Amino acid sequence: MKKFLIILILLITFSEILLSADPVALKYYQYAVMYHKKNDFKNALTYYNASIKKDKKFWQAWLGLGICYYNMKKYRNAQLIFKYVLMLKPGEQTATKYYNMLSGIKDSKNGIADKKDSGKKTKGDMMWRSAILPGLGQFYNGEIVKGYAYSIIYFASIGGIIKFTIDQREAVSDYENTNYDFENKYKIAQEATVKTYIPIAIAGVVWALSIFDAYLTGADDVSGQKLGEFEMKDKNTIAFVMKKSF
Amino acid sequence: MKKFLIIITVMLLFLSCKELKRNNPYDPASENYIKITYKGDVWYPPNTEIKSIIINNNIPVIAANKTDGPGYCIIKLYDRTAHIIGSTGSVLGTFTDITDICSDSLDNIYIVDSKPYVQVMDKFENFTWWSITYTAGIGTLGIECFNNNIFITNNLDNRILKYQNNGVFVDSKIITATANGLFTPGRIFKSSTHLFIVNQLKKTEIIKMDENLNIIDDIIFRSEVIDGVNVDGQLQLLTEKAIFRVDNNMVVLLKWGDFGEGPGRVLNGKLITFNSQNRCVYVLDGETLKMFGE
Repeated sequence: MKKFLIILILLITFSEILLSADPVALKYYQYAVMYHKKNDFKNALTYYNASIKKDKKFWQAWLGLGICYYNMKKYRNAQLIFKYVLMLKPGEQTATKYYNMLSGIKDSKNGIADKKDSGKKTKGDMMWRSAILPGLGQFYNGEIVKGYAYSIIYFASIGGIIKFTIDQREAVSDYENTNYDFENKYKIAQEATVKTYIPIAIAGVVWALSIFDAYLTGADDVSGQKLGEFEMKDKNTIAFVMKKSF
Repeated sequence: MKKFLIIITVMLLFLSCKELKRNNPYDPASENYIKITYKGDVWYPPNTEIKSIIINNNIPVIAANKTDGPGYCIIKLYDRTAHIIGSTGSVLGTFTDITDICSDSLDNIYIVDSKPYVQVMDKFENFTWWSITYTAGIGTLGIECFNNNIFITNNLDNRILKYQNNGVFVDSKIITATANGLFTPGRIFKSSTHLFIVNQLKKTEIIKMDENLNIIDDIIFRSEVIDGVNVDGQLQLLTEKAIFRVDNNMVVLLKWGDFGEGPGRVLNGKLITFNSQNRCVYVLDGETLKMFGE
């Protein structure tokens, strides 16, 4: 469905292009669209860039490039390009839609920069930290109380696991080596075995809860990649976009 | 990767729990149960040094030195009560350093001490006696009733004596040496078909005899044998730290009493007997009289 929409957008814009664009740029653009349809983003990217080089005001090529980056999940680049498209053609619907989607805040002019400044950490960053140690993600996000709560309960559970495991081993050995009072010792060993499940369950719940909490409280991870990290594979394009944008 | 490591660590911790299986060989509910287990201790009066133990009329009867009272005596053990018969002395019904007792099928108890005669106590506690033949003297005597004959070992005489249960002398045999060296008759016990006499000089050596005092076999056992008892045609041989269930040729069928921690372990075995009524083997371990059974 999503793919179909993208193709539709490309076809609509393509029809607008025919009258206005440089013929060589148009040719490259046609190739780019063709590759884009085949999901060959690498070649599409090359031809979009070639098209832009020929005609720097060719906003449709910029739009295609932006969509291409978006498809390649290079959201940061995509966002900059959509912003540039909006400079070339203010109010362009597709670019606006993509730009807003990427910035996460409708009609925002600051987008990612706002997010970075807010100090709220992304879901992904928080979650993997919480997965390593419950509470770590919360500490990372500045939620000190929560961080302490998760980590203390988790460490207490680990302590409980160690203690009850040692107790369980002793109780089982006690039963295995006894020569009297079997019923009682077997019962004690059984109880000790059940006891080991309790801290394990608590540790598991705290661990999962910490990750889930990180997911809930973390900022939306726009790309699933690190914000502020530029994709520099196509230096010419990015450099150009940045130069034009700022 | 790190998350995976955490999971593995927690899993390892959990797996380090010991698997609980009902596999204790002494536990009657275990699938590995060896069919004998500790059943508890038998009470007997304090300040009592047990010298010998038998089951008479389904009641444990001990020959003992009661240091806080009558001295050497016969004690019938009931549930938490004791019936004491006799005292230290040299007349009939009194004893000097009792060494062994046995009983016959009529519930008569035969008692030997350091005197040259056997005292017989019937079930009404009336005493009679008959004398023992000896040459070198009366040493440590052992006594056993087998097919209603009374067999007595005398270590000073190196002799095994056979009497009818009314005291009529039947036969005697002197054994001073075997193929394995010097032999002094010591503890005597029986299986359903044979008599067994332990060499007092080397307690791993046991002579197997028939009721006519013919030596059938001279056996070297793996441990020093202190006492033995017949349980359903198989012998239970008491050693210091274990009991061996053996067949009539002393082939070990089961070793028990040496397992685990707790009172079910025998550490200083001294005497053994069997009560056919409650199917329990009684073992005097140090100063504790223990019961074992299925």
